[in-house]
Amino acid sequence: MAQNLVNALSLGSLYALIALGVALLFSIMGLINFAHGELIMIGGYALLWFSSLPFAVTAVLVVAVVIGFGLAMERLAFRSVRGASGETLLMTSFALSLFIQGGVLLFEGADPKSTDVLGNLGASVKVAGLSVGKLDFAIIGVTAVLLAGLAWFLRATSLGVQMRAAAEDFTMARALGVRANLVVASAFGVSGAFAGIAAIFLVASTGSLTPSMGLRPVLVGFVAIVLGGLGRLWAAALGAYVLALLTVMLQAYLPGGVAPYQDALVYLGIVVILMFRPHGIAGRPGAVRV
Amino acid sequence: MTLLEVSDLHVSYGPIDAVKGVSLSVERGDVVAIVGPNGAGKSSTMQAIQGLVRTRSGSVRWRGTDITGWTPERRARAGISFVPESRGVFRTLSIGENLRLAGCALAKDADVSERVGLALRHFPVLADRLSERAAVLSGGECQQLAIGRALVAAPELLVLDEPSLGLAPVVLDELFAALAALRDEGLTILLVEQNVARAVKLADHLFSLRGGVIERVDEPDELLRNPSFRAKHLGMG
Repeated sequence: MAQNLVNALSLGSLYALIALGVALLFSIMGLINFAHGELIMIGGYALLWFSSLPFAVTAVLVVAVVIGFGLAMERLAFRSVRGASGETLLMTSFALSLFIQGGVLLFEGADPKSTDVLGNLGASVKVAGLSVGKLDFAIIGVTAVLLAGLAWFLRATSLGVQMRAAAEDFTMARALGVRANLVVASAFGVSGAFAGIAAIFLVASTGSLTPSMGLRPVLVGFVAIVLGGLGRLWAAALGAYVLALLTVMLQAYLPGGVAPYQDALVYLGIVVILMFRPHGIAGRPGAVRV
Repeated sequence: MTLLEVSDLHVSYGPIDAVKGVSLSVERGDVVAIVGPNGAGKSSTMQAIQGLVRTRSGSVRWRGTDITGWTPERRARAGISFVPESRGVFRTLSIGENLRLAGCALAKDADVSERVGLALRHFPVLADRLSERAAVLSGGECQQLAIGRALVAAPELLVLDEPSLGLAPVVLDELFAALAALRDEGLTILLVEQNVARAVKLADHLFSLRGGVIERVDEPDELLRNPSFRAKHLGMG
């Protein structure tokens, strides 16, 4: 049981990194950014591009590339539709997602590629009788630091407070002098940083990458946000950990004959939770933004 | 010196014309009030001045410069501070964070803490509660926070949309006393107000807006001398 909890904590941390990147943009812009998955995918390929460099340098470059893509996305695709309806924003993100996938397909081909990033973290260590992978330690630790850092940034810095204000009422924040371009670009930057780090851990876990590898993570991110509750950033992280717990527990305890239906049962579990908590586990009725 | 000049302003929401050719000007140091019934176009006029709604035609000039196409944040940085009818208080932020947020409109080297201190002089009730969440404030306290926050931005023009809305009479007395103090300090104020008696006592100039059209302009002093106005709005024979 304790072993499964550790596994759930590791998977939940990865989900939380993805979910927070999506939730941040949704809270400020009302944007459901399907192209967030492509940021993760770009991060994966960037990992491949820079894999000959020392890991620390590679990691910094990957995150920088993904942040750059995120900022370019905002400037070239989303700025001109800012304030448009949710449907317009969603369609824009779909189009962007397909465009980026197409571009990577063109340059990198459709064949899956493999990489052994963080291969030295493949071993496990024994902690209190539990076998914990070094990679799991890294994911849990880095995510904890990032969550704490994000919380600090949003509470203690002027830009963070501006982002929280914009998330609650963007129009009023602008009327007070909050620069819309700065706040939105910062949100894309932070979202990109989270996507870049998630990409490193995702590729380190799976060892492979394809141009469509971003789809499943971004769907998981959305599910985590809805499950946690629209309206609060930390709820997205909570949703991610609950989703991971459901997944790991079903994986561990489902009888062999039912195992192929694991994903269906996870989502059935989510439907049941939403029946009793229609606004998500920690969501507020009527609240959509942070 | 004319700070704000609105000329032939039109605002539409789809097929509905909310503001139909409003023109008005605000001189530095004046308090200008716009009165009128619900749906008269008062709030739309205020929002158009702050750049929060798109104008169909007409212009807004600030210190002689056409700012009709400016973003709300640029107007705030130019010296226009807006307090909306809803107060616009950020409930998830603390009172202190709400106040300091208005520092965004100040120059980079400005001392935000000093500006917050000045704002709290007008609304001392907030001073001991800076770390509390704004969600806990009463309606009157919210209005004090909203106006205090606007003052942090060191405005040249304070634009108030229905400051008396939903407030108890005793709270209104305090609020309008604070506004009168700000007026006496020389702050330029443009407000829309349904409470005609309060508006008349505060304002130097009065505009009446009805059906999206400026119908007449009265001088408050004349109104206060008008027996029928005194009987209707001030309860004085």
